[in-house]
Amino acid sequence: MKLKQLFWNFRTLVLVAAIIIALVAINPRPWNDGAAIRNVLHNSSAAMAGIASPGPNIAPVDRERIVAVNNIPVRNIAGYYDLTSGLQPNVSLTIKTTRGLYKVTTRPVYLVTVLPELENITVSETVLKNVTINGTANVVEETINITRAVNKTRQTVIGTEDIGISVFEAPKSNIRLGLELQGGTRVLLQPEKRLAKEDMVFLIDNMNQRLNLFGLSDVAIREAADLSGNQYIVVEIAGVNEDEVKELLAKQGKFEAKIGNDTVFVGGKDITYVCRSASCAGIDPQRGCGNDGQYFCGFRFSISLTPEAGARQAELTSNLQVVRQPSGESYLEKTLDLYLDDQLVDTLNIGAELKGSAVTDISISGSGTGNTQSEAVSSTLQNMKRLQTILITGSLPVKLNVISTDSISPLLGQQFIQNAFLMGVLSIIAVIIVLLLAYRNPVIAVPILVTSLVEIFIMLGVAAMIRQNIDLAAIAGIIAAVGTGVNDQIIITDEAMRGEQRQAHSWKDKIKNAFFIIMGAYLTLLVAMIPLLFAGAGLLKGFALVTIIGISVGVFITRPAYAKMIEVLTKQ
Amino acid sequence: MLGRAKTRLLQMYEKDYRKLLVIPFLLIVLSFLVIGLNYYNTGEFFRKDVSLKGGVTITIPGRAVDVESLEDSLSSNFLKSDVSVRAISQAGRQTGFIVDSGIEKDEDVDELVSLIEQKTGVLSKDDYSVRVIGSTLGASFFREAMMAVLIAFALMAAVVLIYFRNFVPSLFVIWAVFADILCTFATLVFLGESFSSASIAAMLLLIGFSVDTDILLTARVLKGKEGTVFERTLGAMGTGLTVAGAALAAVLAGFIFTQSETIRQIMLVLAIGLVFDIIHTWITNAGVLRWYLESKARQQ
Repeated sequence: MKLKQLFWNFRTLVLVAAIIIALVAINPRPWNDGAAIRNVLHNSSAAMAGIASPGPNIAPVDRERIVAVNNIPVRNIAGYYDLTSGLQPNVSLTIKTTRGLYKVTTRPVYLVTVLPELENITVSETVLKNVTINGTANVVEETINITRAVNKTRQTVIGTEDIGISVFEAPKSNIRLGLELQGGTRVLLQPEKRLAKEDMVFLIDNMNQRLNLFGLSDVAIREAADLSGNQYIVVEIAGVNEDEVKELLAKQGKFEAKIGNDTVFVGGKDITYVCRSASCAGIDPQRGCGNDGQYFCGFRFSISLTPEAGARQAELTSNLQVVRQPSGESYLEKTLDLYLDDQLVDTLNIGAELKGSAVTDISISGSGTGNTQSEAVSSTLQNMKRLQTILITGSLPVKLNVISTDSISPLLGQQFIQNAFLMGVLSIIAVIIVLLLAYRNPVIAVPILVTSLVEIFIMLGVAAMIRQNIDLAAIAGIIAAVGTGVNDQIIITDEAMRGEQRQAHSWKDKIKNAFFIIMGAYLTLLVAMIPLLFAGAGLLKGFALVTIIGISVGVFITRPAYAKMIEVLTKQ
Repeated sequence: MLGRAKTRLLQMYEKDYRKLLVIPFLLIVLSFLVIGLNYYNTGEFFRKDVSLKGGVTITIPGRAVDVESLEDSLSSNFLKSDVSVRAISQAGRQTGFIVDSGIEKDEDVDELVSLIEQKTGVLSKDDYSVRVIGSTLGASFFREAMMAVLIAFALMAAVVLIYFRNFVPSLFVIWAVFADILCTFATLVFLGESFSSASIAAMLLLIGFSVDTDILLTARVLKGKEGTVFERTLGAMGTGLTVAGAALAAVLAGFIFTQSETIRQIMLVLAIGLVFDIIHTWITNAGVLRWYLESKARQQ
């Protein structure tokens, strides 16, 4: 008898333990304020000051938060924007975060104008030379200075560069909000041909790297499949409408530099270094910006090649003729053609002095256009960033097609959250009214209500623990699980109340009967949700998973405890 | 007065339960007719929304517009594909709107957005959501959804058969669930609702929900020891109707107050399904089960 009682108590203990675990997992911090850091742009003034992008798997409440700027407290993102917008160039800011104190200096944005006058500039380039030492051929690096005549340029300050931090409201718990609830971009890609496991891993790594280089760290890239065995890649970028990354993700990024039909170097493996700092990358001072009906600008950045690629260039250029241009400059007869995904993007003349030399430092150029000058500047810099990223990360093993995109407004997310609360409260009230009408006894409605709320809490705890995002589909899953929970509790209650009228059954039998029905209902709903775990690129997986978690929590944790509660209540 | 009506109903339920089976039978015939006619008229079993056939959905929250005039002006100015406009509302108050169209190219989407802007004023990128689904993906989602429903139904049927280890009553349960799904589907077709991947997810949920009350009935009737089959059915029905009432109340509250089209579609499917579930559990399933058990008892 005592053992039996202990067994029942054991059920209540399990429930209490589950609540405590859920509390720890959710880790509510209602007092957290400030602006949480989502991304720090590479090479921005914030990055220079040492502020880093957060890691991808960091728990929401552990994120670095900006709590003060210049000693003025930052309560929310609006406060952060107030303090950091409209700043003059070269102003120092003290940014205090939960991790430390940073000194950020704002930088000016320059407009480069090309002037007609020429000036001589001297640049140093590293070349590789074949030298015979003691009878053996060696490749050695040698730095040479080259003087070129270029147009003079004028730099004018046209504004202040953004300090490069993107922020979001400080998370107040570890419940991860899905894209629908916080805004963001989801891109669904399909590889053109089937990828082996290791290629898929490589592909996802490469895409992660591309997005990180692009300045986006709050990204989730995962492989997905469907019932027909199609492969998909789902990319989710939180918080921002990042339409432009679509191209970055889908581009295979096969970069090739060719002389005639011969490949000199390719992106990724032949490139040892891509310059991304202002000194050797940016709007090309020799070309600047112009207008031919539309504004356009040119960019350039330098890269370094591996010695092998340099040697290939030396070999391929050694037999080319030197052609003297009418302007007086001498170039080789063939050009260096740059191809991105088999499309010619740029053609570079090869200076006569490079004939046969193993050059490893090369300048890559390109351009961008826009309807206004500043649009042209930003599109040019965007193009440069994309090309740099592709050159660093190299080519993806397969071509990808964008088959679906979803960009979700953060405003819509806020509306959904408020609405979900309202809907939840009203649904609960509706259920309570029905229960009061059915049982005419408020004592029955209370434990059902309490159990349902506890169930939601444990569900959110499990979701936080397994890093499952709570999005609309998950909310639908929570509703479904709570719905079945209420059903089961009514079945238990009725079974118990029936017993009140007829004492024929023992308590144990009554509960056994109720649990036979509950288990049957549980198993059928469980198997009905299983196909969704695997169907349609996993886009409804969250729904199925949360429903399964919810009904499992119900059947194994809260329902036994509820039965105990009803036993105590009806025995009184 | 009410008491007498209740007694009459109960009498009918007790004595004429076999005649009552005509009601679900007619519903099933009617459902097949609705689906067949719709197929005959449109060449499709049901209307698919953008998520199952491909296209773009633009959601603009927080702005109220005259849906019909916007649809007229968009349809006459945007010639690349059909355009439809729906309102998002919460308890009858418009809180935003949704524009659907069959296009999938970025430039077409930009053009459509700029046409919408003529009515709403300039929209920044954060002011609206855009979902683009390629038509091949839509078609594959559709196949997937159909497969998911079939698999879920088959798995449910397997669980019921294994769980009860009693072939004929299990078949009744499975039949009742099938009838519920069929009638719900036909009603949605009749109402002209478009199906999305969310409605399909709701159908799966309905398979799970619908079978609950049938299990309740079958378990109580087969495993119960006291009273007649009818008395046990009545006992189960008391519980079942409370369950259905609570579920319907919650689902309807969700349906009326949600602002999300996804949740609205799910709730609509569940609400219709729960109503048919009452009929197919307590008339169809209860009727054939009692018929079966009583005739079996007579034979012995």
